[in-house]
Amino acid sequence: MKRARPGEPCIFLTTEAPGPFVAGSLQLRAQAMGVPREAIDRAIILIDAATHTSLTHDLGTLLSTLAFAIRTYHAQAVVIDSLTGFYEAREMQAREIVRPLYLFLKKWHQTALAVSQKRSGHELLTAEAAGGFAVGHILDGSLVLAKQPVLSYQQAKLYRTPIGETVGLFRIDGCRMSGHDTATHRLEITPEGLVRIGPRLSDLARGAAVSTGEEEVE
Amino acid sequence: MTPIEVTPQPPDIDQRALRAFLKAIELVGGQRQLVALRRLTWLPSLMEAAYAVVLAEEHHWPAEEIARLLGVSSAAVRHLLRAPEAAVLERLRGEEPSEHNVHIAGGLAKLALEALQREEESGTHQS
Repeated sequence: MKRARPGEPCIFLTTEAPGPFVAGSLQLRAQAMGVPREAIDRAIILIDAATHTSLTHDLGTLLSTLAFAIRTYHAQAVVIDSLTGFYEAREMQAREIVRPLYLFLKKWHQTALAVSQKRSGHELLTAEAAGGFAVGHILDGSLVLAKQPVLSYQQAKLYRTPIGETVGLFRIDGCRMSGHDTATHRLEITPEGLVRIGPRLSDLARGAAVSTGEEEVE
Repeated sequence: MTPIEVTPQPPDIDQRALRAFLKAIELVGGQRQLVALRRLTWLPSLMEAAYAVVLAEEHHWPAEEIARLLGVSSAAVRHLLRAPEAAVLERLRGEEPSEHNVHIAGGLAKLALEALQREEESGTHQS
């Protein structure tokens, strides 16, 4: 949305929600960010792999369609939501699908952001959870998002959230191209769907320790 | 109003293989050169290799599937796809080959596809 605002063509490839729903959701985000609706209509190119299943089942068709979109609209950025959709029920082939896709995007000089879901067997806040099935190692960097239910008094104190609520966490797991922040942060999703990166957990813990100390003094 | 939508663009494998085939002929000096060298018999293998290389390199087909399409053994497809381009270039220059039992058509098709990809890439950057 940020790059589409000044009119830079960006491709949005969906494997999850069908095109009309994605379009509606993009319009909501644009509204929340104050991006004019015309900017989306002009700069966002939608590829609907949720409806056209040949795109998820045939890598050749997918790459050929992406090449067509990049060539035709001179796109420079690609968002894939989500990568997991390409290897549903064939997770063993995940790397075989992700590597060619990664090399293709490199070859076409694209800045790409790919979403991937974690499986229940994957541990929270790990690279495995971010990429799943070791595909995170193929990509240049991984941003890990996690949900954590607050179930103990200690957690409630740390996250400053009542017991029973759920908190979002965010961490950069690795970046091959540059240095990065290694801390785990609180993450909030606004009702409009915008993501806000909050304070570091270490800062929150310090605050919690201070308040605990005060209580003890009292 | 809604965002621009791009529908699936299935790749034209036949057209791509044909382009790789023609490029390979160009690399050996054109069809007239093949006639002069009495090497027109290379052409069927070259067409087969063009399909195999396009399907393996650009569509990530496994050797077994390529073999099924071409009606050859998967070992033959693997041999073809392993052909070292450098040895084929030596052979084309008339030099004593450093490697023997090289699949000439396979190496030529790989060289041709690389040349095509280079041309397309430079074309994209120019536009």
